Amino acid sequence: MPIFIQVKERKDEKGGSLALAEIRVENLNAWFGTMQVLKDINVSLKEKYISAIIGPSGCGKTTLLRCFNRLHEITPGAKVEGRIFLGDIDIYDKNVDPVLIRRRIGMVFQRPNLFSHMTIYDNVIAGYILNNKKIPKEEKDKIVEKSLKLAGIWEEVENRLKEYPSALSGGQQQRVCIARALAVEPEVILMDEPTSALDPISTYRIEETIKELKKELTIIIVTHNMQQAARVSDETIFMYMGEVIEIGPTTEMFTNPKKKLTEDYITGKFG
Amino acid sequence: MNYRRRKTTNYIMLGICIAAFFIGAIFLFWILGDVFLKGIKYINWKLFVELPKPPGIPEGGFGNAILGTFILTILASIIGIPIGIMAGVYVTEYGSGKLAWWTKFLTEILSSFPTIIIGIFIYILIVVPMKTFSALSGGIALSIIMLPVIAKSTEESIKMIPVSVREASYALGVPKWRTILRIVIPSAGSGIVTGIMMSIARIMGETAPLLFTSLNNNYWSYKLNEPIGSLTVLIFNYATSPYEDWRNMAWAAALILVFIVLILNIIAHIYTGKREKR
Repeated sequence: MPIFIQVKERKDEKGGSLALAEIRVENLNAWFGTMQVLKDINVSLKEKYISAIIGPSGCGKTTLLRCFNRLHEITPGAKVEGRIFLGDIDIYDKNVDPVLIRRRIGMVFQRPNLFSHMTIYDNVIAGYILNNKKIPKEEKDKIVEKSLKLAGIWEEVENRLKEYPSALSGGQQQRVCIARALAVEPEVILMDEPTSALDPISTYRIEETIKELKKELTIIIVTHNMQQAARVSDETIFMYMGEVIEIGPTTEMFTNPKKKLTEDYITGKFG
Repeated sequence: MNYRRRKTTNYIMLGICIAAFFIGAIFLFWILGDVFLKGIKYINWKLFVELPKPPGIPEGGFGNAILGTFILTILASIIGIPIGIMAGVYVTEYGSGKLAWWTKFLTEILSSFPTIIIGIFIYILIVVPMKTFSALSGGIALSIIMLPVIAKSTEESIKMIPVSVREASYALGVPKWRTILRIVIPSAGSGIVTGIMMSIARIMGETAPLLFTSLNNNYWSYKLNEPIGSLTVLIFNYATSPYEDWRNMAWAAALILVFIVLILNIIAHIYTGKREKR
């Protein structure tokens, strides 16, 4: 029987809310078949922070991100060991249902992946309709509007909600994807190189959206683009060959890296 | 020099391809044209509403056979479509072990299985114990013929759905079974529908398995435990009969059958086209 304790909105004795969307990773290892892609990861990420994961191709940054919402394990042959805490819940506890975890930790993928057989409106509200949650029409309208506004695309699609996603540009689709992830009100949102397939203007808009979202939730973003990490994130994690080499405040990491490897990567000596 | 040789080779190969196309197309249009010209003369509304008459007596029709073909097709669809889709879904979504491999392998074998053997098999399995030829046994035999076609096309069209779309659904906290029902199957919808239409068109043209199962019936019949008429068996009986008016009827029946199958194919194409535009 999967149990899941809803701890959102928990208050301490004085009525102040606790930092619950903090994420702590302990001794995390992950494999694809026999190949180990994550080696003993130990990091902790603060609530309502934007954390960027950077590193060369194949360093395991996407895998780490996909461990946060237990998406790594659905790949055939993939395996995970270790613990990740969201607040005080170990999401790898055997009693925790990964499906419920994914409702609290949303995700935006590298390429826009809207459901092509559903309208833009239905796509935004997909988290509810796919789970058969019956909610009144007015409330749905409110959720759709709020999410699209948060994702910074409301003005562009306001009158096109009944159209299919293929009518939108890639950048617009990606922002609708962000709205779709936001609609279910997650505490954390994972972004896997969300702008790598987009032009500079769309990228700029999405970065603005990300900065705006920080007020509401915790964001973890994987990026290939170091300038992007420097522009948007509060904290940066540098990974290399499946290990976390360095973690620290972004400004510090980019101006005064502690490790030689980090410096070499940031200054473009490799990667 | 080299360029000229390449150009000539290109023209020769192109010529062979076009010739091959015409050989295929000529036979198709020849058959269609022949059926049309020979059948159209005998088409009238009485064919659709009247029962067959004995040879020598003018007029009459084969409304019961048309109805029979539809009943058999619907029966086969009720059994074959869900099982076929489920088999296809199983193989792509859950099948990683030996069982999936066997399902796939057996589907492939079944799709090229001689249909007359399926007829005999159902004869032994259902007709003999029931002690009567029946619409039910005919429908089951046809559903077995449908099954691999639908399973295969479901499998192929589900494989076309990118992993990223599935993951988008998982990432929203949608369980796997709901993802399959609400995302995977609808996204693969046009492919699955095309497969269903193709399999229906195929079973409507089957004769051999029906000879052992639903046999024939010269009267209106709706009962599942009684023999039932069908267009193909009627064509078979009439075309091989020594009576000219029956043979003419067979041409008319052939034209109607071809027409129904053609309409089904056109519907399938329109449907596929509509979905692809999105």
